[in-house]
Amino acid sequence: MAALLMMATAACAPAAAPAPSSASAPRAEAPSAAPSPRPAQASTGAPPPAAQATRVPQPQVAATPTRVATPVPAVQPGEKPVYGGTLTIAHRTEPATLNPFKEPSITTHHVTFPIYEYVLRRDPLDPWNKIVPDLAESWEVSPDGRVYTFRLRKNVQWQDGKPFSAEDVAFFLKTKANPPSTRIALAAYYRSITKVEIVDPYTVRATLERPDSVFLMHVSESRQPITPAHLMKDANGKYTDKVLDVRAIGTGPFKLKDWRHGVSVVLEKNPQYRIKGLPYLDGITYYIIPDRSTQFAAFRSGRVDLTSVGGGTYLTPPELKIVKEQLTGKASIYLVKTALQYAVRFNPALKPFDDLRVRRAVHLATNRQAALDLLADGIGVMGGAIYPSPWSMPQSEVIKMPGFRQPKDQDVAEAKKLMAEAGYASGTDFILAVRQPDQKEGEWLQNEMSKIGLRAKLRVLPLTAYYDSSSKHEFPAYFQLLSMPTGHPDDIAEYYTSSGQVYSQIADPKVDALFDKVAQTVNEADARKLSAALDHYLSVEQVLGVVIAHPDGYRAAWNRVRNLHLDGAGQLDSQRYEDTWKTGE
Amino acid sequence: MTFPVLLGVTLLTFFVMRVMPGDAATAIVTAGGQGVAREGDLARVRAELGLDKPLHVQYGEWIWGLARLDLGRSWHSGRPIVEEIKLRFPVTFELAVLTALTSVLIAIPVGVISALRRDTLTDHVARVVSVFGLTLPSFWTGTLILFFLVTWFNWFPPMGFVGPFEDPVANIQQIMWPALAVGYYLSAYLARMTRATMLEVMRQDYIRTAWSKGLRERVIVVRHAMKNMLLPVVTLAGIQVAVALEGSVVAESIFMLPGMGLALVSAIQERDYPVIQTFMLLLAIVVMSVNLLVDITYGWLDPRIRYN
Amino acid sequence: MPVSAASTRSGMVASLLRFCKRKPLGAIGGLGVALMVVVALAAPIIAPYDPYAMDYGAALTTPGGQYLLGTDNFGRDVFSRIVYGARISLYVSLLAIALGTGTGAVLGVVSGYVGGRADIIIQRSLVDVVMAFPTLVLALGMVSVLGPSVENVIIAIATVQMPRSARIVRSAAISVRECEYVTAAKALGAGSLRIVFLHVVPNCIAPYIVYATAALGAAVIVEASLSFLGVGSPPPTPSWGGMLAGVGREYMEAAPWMALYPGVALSLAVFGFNLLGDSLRDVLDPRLR
Repeated sequence: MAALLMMATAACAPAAAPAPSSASAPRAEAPSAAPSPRPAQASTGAPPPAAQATRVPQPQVAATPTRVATPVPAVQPGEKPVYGGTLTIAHRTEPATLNPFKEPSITTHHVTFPIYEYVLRRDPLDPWNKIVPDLAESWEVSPDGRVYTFRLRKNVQWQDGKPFSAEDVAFFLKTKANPPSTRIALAAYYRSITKVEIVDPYTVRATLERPDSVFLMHVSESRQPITPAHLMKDANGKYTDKVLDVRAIGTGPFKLKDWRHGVSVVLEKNPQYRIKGLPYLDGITYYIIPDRSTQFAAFRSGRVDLTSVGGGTYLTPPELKIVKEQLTGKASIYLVKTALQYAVRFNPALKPFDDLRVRRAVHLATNRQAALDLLADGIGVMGGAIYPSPWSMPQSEVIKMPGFRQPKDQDVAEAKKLMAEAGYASGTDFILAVRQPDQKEGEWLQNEMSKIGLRAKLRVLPLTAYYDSSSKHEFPAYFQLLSMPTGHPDDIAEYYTSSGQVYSQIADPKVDALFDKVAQTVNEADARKLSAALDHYLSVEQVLGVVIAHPDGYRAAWNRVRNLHLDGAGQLDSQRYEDTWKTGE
Repeated sequence: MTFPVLLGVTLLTFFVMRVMPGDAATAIVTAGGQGVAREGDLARVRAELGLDKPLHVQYGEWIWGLARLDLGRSWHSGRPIVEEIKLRFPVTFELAVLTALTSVLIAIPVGVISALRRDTLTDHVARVVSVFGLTLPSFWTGTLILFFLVTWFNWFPPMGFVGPFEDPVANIQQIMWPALAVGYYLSAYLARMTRATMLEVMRQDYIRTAWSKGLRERVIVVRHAMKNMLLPVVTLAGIQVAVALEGSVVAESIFMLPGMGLALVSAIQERDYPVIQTFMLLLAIVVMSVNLLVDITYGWLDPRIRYN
Repeated sequence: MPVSAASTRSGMVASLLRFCKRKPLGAIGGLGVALMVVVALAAPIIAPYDPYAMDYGAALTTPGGQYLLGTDNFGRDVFSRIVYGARISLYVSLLAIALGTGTGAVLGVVSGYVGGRADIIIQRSLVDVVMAFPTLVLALGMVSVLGPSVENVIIAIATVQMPRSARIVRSAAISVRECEYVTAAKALGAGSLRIVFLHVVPNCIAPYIVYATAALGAAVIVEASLSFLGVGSPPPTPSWGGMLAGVGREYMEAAPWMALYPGVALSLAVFGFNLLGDSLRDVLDPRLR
């Protein structure tokens, strides 16, 4: 908490004039020349202000080195931004709605990121460690960790001309804390709020029931943009989501111009954006391209500037090869830290996974390095239940642990022994449920598990049937793709605690207690240690599921798109492209 | 006569939907699996969607809505289905018509040549080329087309589908390729029909006599034969429109066309019952109408052909 | 005039040879189909590797040497998978078409010969309703309901084929019904069943065979399209369509052999069915003799 407080006050310090400064600090009116771009490296000029506010572009590298990306062409010092042009981005699926307040799906959020802003924002280049100001200039946390005060920027306008104020943030927090409808995105993040006050027109204070070490991370999560309160109330003052379903009015650098269903979402520049001189681009167009090969063909031909983001749309190994070998110098690839997990979840109420020994056998025998190599072309990290982040077991230890380490002979032998002890020396058959898009991964896992006698029959289910089935706990095992938006164990609490309904059938008081303790420990260092212990317990001792790999992904962009802060960013990290530009066309 | 069939269609789509495993309510509540389905929420959403009412009541409500031309709203997007149809049907229809046209343009020359040169090498080659179209699934043809366009010609159709009245040039550039991919597949059957019909016409005595008389007469014979043959073949091509509809399911995905095929596939995956029911019904109506039209036309033309 | 009764045995062999001479394309098609059957039956002997065995180290090997047609992204031998794929494709198409056209044929005979009320009921309720849906859409819907498995794919394809064969058989049956010798037989007191089996069925066989061979090809294509839509035979079944639509497409440029060879196999199979059917039609259709 003390660290956060320090960061908060540092953010208020006036940025040194010509030196690289944080995007959120208001820019001085430069009469003539366009404001200089923040160069990729902190190069010349005054030393950068407080660490938190600087954009340091090194990708957040977890301890296990992943394949090295080709060096992304950094913006050269002295390179001037160019105004104009439209950035074209591929997008996999048509969003159901444009309302980010109600819809947690990233299909919606990826096209609305440039339109909206947040109270606080995770630093796109260091999302696991740094939170930077956005619509709030600064914030304070009380020593007991229960009271959060946000001081908001003044002179910010909604894109329909109305002024932004504490009213909007207060309405946001109140509505999410007491959701009037089932369709509110991630309302669970705010469940511990007991009181929201408007201290003055630009200050909001929220009081929590108990300390929550993840509260700020939740507030700054990319799917929590602030939406205009005046458009979320109907004539009687009651909450409505009808307006924002089709009209997107934010405070961000781009506004919604047109939504052509099934074809594209078109954004245009917001001339009233609070940072003068930005954005450089005239507009952004997201093209809906459902088929993966078609997406790459469109990119390759130049019709699309940037490939899409989201599980299942990242570049496949052959496509990466083409960009690296055939488009050298013309296009680049960007690493996306997806925080995704491939995992198999066991139903401990059904055979054979009611026996802890069987579960441990799977944990020991699974060749995670092979999973990374074959399913993710080596791109990604190995880890346990918690994505390698400051909250997980330290990576350097993980790769030495049984189950994770190479070579696997010893662990596989141990696994076979456990299977025999459990009475399955000749193996057994069971059903493994797989989502339709994950068939390839399921196939691999089936092969892997057969090596210790667990013969899986794959049941492929379309998404809705899959979620239905898993909430009914129908099958002994489910292959699953999960993502952890914040890296904090709270992201996966619902899967493991007894109050969660998804997959856990064991009411393990130890798990519940650990999750609670992590949430309520005020001291961050202590909380992280507890979280690592929780990770260990879940991954190695209780083994309710086996995480196979944390695959990362790659996107590609033509080099004519400049100043894309994408390399090393998280999948869920918002990209606003406010300081991106295009050269030539 | 067609009404009971329509009724049967509605029954089939409706009840088949309800038997499907997987529940739209779960998808909505878990927001596509990104949240947790809590029992209370689930019940609430199911009530919102009307899923808690007995089946026959739901069916009745739907039919009553159809009668009033109230097609309901999509569960996934909340938008009125009528709007979706207005947007998507013209795309699928245009694709189906152009696909049928393409298949005719390929099939007729191939079939005629094949018939005129019956059992010669030309015939065999033409038939092989024609049948080859049947052996490639249209998704594969489509993928190959795009692949070669990009790698050989460094060209890709313009992004962002536009209708033929907005920008005919761009529209043709976008739609000719899916029409070709599916049209080639469909042309095989039509070519075979053309060949058979042509042969039948050519077999008649007076035609044979005229044919043996020499080149000038041959030209007249061919023209005459084609005139007689064209009608039945073209009416069969009308059926192609209905068959082309199914090709659209695949082609729309690969060529980024915002049509009904793609929307239907998504709706099936999302268990968006109102959309599935209505779209399937609409497609069935189109297919039936076209078949009916063809049946009538063919029956009307039949005595003439026999007479000739 | 409808033709009745089958020819004698020696007559059949002579007919076969005559067929090969007159319709070389048909003969080639027939040969192709026969080859596919042989490969499918002899798969365990022909295939050098287990089609399911993954060898991570040998992933994406180019064709030649140890792996005749290369390996896929999981290190499985493509040639072995294609050989076993013949089994899957044959299994799916033969069973689906037998089931679908068989049911359709029965319905068609009943509908055509008996006529009247039965005809109307069968036509309106079963045939027309099922035919009103575009085939792929209906198949997709059915597999979604039943769940993706090889058996359900077969059922879906069979359902889709049923009405079309019913229609064809029905028209053949109707034309028989009107014949003089049938009326004569009836007048002489011959039972309906006897008439059906002696006269109606033989007359329907020819159009049925012609349709069925074409439908076999279509079944293979539909299975591939269903795989493209994600509801085909579930992994790790080595179906040609699945290989083409799935990872084969993904690796089209990097490892073209993964899609090319299954695609060729698929094409050859469908080719064979169609050429055979085409030529059979020419031969069996009395109007074109």
